[in-house]
Amino acid sequence: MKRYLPTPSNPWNYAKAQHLLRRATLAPRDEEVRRAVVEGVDKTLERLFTPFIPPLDLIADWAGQEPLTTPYAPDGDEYWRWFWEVIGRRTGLNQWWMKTMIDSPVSLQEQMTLFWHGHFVTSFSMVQCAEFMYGQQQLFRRFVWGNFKQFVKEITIDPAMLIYLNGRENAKYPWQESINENYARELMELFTVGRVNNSGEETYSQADVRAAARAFTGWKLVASRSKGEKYTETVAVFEELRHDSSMKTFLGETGAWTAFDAIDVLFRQRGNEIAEFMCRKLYRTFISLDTNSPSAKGFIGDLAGIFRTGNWEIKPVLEALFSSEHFFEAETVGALPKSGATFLLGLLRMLNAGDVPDFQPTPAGELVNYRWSTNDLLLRMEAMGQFLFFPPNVAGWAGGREWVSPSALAVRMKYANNIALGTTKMRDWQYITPPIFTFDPVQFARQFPKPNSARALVQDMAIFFLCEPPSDDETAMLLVALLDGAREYEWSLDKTVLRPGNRICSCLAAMFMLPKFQLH
Amino acid sequence: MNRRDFLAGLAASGVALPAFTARGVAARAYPHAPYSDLNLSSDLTTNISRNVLVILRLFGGNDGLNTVVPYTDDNYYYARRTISATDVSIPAEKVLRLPDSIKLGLHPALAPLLTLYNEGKVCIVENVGYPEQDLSHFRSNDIWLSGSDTEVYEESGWLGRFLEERYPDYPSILPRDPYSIEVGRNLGRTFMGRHTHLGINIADTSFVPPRPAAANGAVSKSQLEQEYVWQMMRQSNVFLQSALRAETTAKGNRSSYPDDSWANDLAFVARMIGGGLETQVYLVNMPLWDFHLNQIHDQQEYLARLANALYPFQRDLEAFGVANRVTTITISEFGRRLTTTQSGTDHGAGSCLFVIGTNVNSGIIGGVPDCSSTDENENLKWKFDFRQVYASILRQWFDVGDREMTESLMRRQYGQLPIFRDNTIREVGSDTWQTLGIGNAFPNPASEFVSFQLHLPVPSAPSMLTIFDALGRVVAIEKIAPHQQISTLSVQHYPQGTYIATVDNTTNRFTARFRVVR
Repeated sequence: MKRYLPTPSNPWNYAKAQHLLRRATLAPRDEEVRRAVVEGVDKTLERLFTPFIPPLDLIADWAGQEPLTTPYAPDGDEYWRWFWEVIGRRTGLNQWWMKTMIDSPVSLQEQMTLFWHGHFVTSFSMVQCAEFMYGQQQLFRRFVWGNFKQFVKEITIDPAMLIYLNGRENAKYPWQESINENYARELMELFTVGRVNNSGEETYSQADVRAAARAFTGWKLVASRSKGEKYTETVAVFEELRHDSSMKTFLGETGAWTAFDAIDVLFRQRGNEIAEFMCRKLYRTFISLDTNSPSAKGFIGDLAGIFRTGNWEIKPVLEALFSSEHFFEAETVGALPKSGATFLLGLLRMLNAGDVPDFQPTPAGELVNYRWSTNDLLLRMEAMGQFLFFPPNVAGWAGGREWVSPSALAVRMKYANNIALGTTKMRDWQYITPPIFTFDPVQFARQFPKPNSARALVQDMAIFFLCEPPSDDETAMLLVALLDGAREYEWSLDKTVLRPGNRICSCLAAMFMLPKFQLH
Repeated sequence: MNRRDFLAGLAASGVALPAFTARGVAARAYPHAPYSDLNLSSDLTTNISRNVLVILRLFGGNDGLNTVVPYTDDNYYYARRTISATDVSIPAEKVLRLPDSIKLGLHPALAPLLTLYNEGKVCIVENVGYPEQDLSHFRSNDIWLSGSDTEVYEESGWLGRFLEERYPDYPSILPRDPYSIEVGRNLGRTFMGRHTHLGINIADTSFVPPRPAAANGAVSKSQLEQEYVWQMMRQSNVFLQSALRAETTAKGNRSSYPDDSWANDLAFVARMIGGGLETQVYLVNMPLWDFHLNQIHDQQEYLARLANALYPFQRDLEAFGVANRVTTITISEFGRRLTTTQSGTDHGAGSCLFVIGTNVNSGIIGGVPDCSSTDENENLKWKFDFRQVYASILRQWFDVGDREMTESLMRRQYGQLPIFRDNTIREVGSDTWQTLGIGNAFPNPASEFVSFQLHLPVPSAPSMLTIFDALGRVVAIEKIAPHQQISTLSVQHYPQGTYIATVDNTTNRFTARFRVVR
């Protein structure tokens, strides 16, 4: 696999730095791209693989604690207090992650955490408690580019996963068996090997699903009552009595496999398929939707080789991917539809738009959930089809062109238009709020080199926001929007009589409607 | 803001909103007017067959045995025992009895459906499956939506292929109304043709149509994606105006629905149809039927939601006066295993489905599930391939009049099932129907004249031969005498393009397609 080496004919420049940061982070700010150009590709890659610990502000009062589960519904007022507390924590977790993404330094960490959330899927639809999901988030960050095989073992007994795919109900007692195939099937189909291999052959049979399910028996969630009579803590434990210790033939190997044994067998017998499957998914997420072209297949094969020979370490694979010549090829640039998060949260990040009500701290003594308006960003993500912690199903978000379905595009257009024009408002109980997600357009324009040249400003803003340089038609359209009847030579940020801020907003509104803004 | 509010708001504002008007900056025309290439027909578009199909996709794999229950079968009750307090079976005394079966009855939550059944509006197709049942939700779902064989990976959907075949000039010429609508946030493969996507999705959105810039020819991968995004924008822009028009025409629903998301989706579909939208296929997604656990409780709730949404939907269509051209069908990617998990069931094969409408052969097709034996994977043995249901819909409901086309759309020949009572279906199981209708156009493509062989029922009422262009506009009408065997007409003055010939008499409609080239 060829590594990208800057040469005079293929230099490390703004476009390349921008491409790398657009794919590896939520959305880069202009100053981050410029810094990357100065620092060079190696130093930028080093930054990308720097982990960071997100501050816990929004969820500090419960994060890391055992879940507030209850064995039976409390009565009356106490029930409602408990109910709203549960809902409030969920909302808080969602908002905390969105804030973490927006505030993230230049690091791959949050994009990979999002990748794992869409890969090892669980959802609030079944996992009621935010504490479980937060615990899983910590697992994702711990293994963010760690060892995949160990990752699979730990996710298998992760409480949220045990709940979501019925692992905790999968049991064989000496007198009765209730084998539940749900986790075994999805582990193979969606989390590791895929249904079929490159040649279209099935990678496992129904008998293998059954055998793996038997190996996975024995794990359950145990409630303790240290928090008082009505609330319980919950941890995953292995119980011999629930485990099927009989001989099982799984993928051709026979033994009295436990859960971790079965995962060892899986990686031993289907190593090639696992490496291919995972590297194809990474390729599709970070490079291109087209995984079938000869060059894509060759590249995925090379990545898979690194994954396998590197004993399932993820970091070398990602390093090879983001530093490869293929990643920086012209064909790769600007061809991925933006996810909802990249589109909306990324836009707020790029504009430095402040005043995000979701991220306001909760007034002391008030439960988060009473302030419905603070769900604004969360509901917008839902409308665009990317409700965090609520993936559509166990396969996660389909991604690719699904992000730009007519329905999602419609709301994207509306949101982007409102943000550009500074007209985003919320209904907060009885009244309409003042505009939110606001930014100073003149200040924003000043970060570009020649803000007092209309044409240069349009060009620079287009290069900053669009996936490809604008065509002549698009430039003309953006210029018309910016000038709004004024002459080009009249343009200056300092001519307040021209209301330059309003004109910049109109120009951005037009820019955000271009197909080139939907891709990165 | 709910969908109705948004549409009403949109109506008040006149739909064609300027793209940006805030902060005192007036809207400006773009250098290039978008949609200048659109050739939209301003008069009423007449789709060839105005029949409508509404598909309810019960994603997750619905358990057929507990939906239409074999309540006299001890094997069923034995197999569905569990270690928990509740067995995963429906007690016989709770099963709703069907008037014409002593072995099968409905789940108690389906009481509203029983009412429709007793009115002769429900056809139950039992024992539906396919060879080499795949137990992956996703793979099996793909198979159901594409109609492919288990080992074939097919990107297009069965209805996408059908619509593409029927309307070959799409998307270069957009009809006024979309051919198909998927209700929800995603746009799946059902309406994907071999070359292009023939549907749009509509979720509960507040929508301001964008004015995308003209996209140039697709060259790089990025441009390919830009072109796709632009197409999506263009289609949603045009078609959402149709939805708005239908919404304002319908003036609300005519029956009352429960406050439930599935019911809301069906109410929306009813308003679209009732409001005159010419869309032919709707897909409504009803997910999470995957009851590995707590099946008795959860499936009860889901079936009740389904029935309580379906019943007012059917009543609504009747009140709008469109019920005779709407059929609703439920599909689910697989059934469940005969045996149980702790309190649910795992993915299985063979299930039942419902076809609902005033044109269906009410009753049960396919007999009683056999709970006395299973295949080697403990799966029920199914009897009908689900693609037989599709093939029957294509031929009996959508008048796909020639057998070759059905075969090409479904990749293979599938025997018809007597699902529709309408006289468009002739003798089930025989090929009598083939001798009726209109033969292939000759020559095809044509430039001066085109001829059709006619095979009309004898004695036939006087019929009309009508030629439509790709936009559904009538371009010629000819009277056909009884016993007439051939009809020839001049196409000298027709513009190049695709045309559809239909023969109507009072009871039947047959179609054939041809192209004019020069």
